[in-house]
Amino acid sequence: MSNGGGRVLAVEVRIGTWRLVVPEVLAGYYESLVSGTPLEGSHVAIESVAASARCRTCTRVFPVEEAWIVCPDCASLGAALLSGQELDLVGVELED
Amino acid sequence: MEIKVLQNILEANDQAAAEIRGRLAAESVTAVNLISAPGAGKTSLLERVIPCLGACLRVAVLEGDIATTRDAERIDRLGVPVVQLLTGGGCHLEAALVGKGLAELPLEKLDLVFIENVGNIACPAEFDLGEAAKIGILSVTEGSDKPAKYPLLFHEVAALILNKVDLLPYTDFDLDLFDRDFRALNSQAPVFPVSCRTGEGIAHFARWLEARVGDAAKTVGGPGLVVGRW
Repeated sequence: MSNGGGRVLAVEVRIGTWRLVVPEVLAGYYESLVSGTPLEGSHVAIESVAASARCRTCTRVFPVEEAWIVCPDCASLGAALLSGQELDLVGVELED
Repeated sequence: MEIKVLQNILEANDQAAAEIRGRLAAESVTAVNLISAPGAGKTSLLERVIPCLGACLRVAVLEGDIATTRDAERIDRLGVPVVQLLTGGGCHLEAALVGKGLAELPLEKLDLVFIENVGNIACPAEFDLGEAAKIGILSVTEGSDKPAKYPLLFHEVAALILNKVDLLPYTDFDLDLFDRDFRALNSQAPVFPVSCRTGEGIAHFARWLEARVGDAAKTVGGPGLVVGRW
């Protein structure tokens, strides 16, 4: 490809579990979209990021299980989500 | 060989939303993004709350739908400017389409713009439209388990309208379960129990909205209907 790089092997994507993105569907669409383009043969490498939150009362950081953002230590409501809403293009892996 | 990029995939939408936010701030206009399932009462809420807002508050509506101008026609009967946004299949509004709709409105003569999203409680919660607040509507006929099943929307809203409360005696809606699940996601947002059929509770929501808009009210603007498909 241009810029002196080799063929694209993978596109690395990071998706939080709170994002309404289905990884298998994203991977399937990617495959369809790149068909017949210079990216054909490459795939999406998806890294899933679990949701976590920080309690505003006791500052404890805890994993968010399903739809329940309640501090397991002090039972406070209203903790701030720290992770789980990522939807990022992280990088591209090229053939050496 | 690996090349690091680190770019938000929704960056284009976020940029368009930031542009809208800037445009609205420059004109002292407050925009709210109404999100609910189909049939929960977004248009009915507008039909009830717009006449209930202070007379000096100048309002317009952006109507998001997959198809038809039916909702825009309902809003047009209220005598406020309305623009129908047709997604042509898309299950949510994105900032670029909202930006085009806003360009059809006389922002300098407005105080409050309602953006009625496409009926859906999943995807619309993902897209920033440049609004000051997302407002969710849950009707009691949908069931009290919806906050737990669609957490992102209920986490994001600045206020929640609980509609069709006149039907509570005829449903199995569990107010305690709803309250517990909703508060586990959102400890701040006020809940307004209303009935768009009887008008119950609408005034409380109207007063809250007026407080959000503040006293930036100017003078009354003229009605009009613009229908476009982009």
